[in-house]
Amino acid sequence: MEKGTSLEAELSALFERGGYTVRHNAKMEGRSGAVHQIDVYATYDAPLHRSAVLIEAKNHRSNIDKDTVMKLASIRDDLSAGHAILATTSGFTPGALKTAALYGNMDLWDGRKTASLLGGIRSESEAVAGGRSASALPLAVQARVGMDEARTAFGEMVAKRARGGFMGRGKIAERMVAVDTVWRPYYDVDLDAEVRVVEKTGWRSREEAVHTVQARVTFDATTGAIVSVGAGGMSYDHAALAGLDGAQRSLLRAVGGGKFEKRSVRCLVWAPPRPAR
Amino acid sequence: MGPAKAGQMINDMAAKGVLVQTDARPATYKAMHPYPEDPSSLGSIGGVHSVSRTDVGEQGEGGLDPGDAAGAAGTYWRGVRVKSIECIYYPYHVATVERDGGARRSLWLDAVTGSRCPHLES
Repeated sequence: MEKGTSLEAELSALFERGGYTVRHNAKMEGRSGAVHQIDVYATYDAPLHRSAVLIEAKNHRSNIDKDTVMKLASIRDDLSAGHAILATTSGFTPGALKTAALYGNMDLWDGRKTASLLGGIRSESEAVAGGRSASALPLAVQARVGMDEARTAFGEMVAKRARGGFMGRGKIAERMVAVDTVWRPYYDVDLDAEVRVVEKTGWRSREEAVHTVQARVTFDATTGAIVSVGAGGMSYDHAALAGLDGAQRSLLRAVGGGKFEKRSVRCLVWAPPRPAR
Repeated sequence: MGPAKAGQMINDMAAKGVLVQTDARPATYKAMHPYPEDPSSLGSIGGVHSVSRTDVGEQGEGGLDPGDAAGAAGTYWRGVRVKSIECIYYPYHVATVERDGGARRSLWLDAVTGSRCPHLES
């Protein structure tokens, strides 16, 4: 693991142990619309309010200057985070200390303070994860089906295929060679999107309105397919969309869930453009 | 785009399984699954399952980086603003089975729900 990434992971663990909800190496959009790459973003839900802390990790040999402090302050304000912490393994220039004091709501952790705070965390997490700090571990969903159950299920699948269909037709003899557990990566993307909705505005009148919806969408990180996730499992119903071009997607949106004749699409495509007024 | 190209486009979509032909004469189609116009109707891993930091051992490698995922989201819906992206690993049990001739294939089982995953099988 790279030095900087390791420091970020240890800082994440520090805040997690402090009861914070932590996002490590997150991309977040600020009020300005700019997307910021955040080393550690820690939130704490108190009974009456929620506080957010932005943490920037700098595993540098040279002292951190005022430009880094100013940049962090501007990102903090853009994300409306209440507080920022700049943690480094080195120190800070006098200009950086002065700038941080001027901006306020910012702590500067020099090498000594960072090491003293992380010392306990490092030894605990190494014991837990065999040398890997807790937050360096990936986010994952816990398996609920054990390997024994899986072997039984696979055994039934193989036996069913060996029996074949009606009157034993199509039977195929196979043997199980290996059973493994594989962790497949997915991306959960938090996004806002515009959705067009036709609203009834009167007895016979309808208007198309555009609403912004918040959504969390999962993408298969191996194929890029959209995945729909339910309590019953993953659905790859929309996986084929990844292979469609813009025109094909437009057609699919236009037809919705109804039937259509192929020739009607030709007519639609052939329709001459309306003359300009 | 001419009529031949429009017809070809529909044929391509049918071949990919996006459209299904319901009648031969006149040739009538419908979408296999309607376009997910509202992204909030799609469940997500983080929204359905509890996620924690875990030592997952051997991790599968993704072909996409987070930037690709954000870019892809922008092609599905209008006015997309990506706020954050998290990589989450999901467990599967995979069996390798072999025929007498030596041909191999893999069977996938969702290790959370126990359901078979034919879409991932080779």
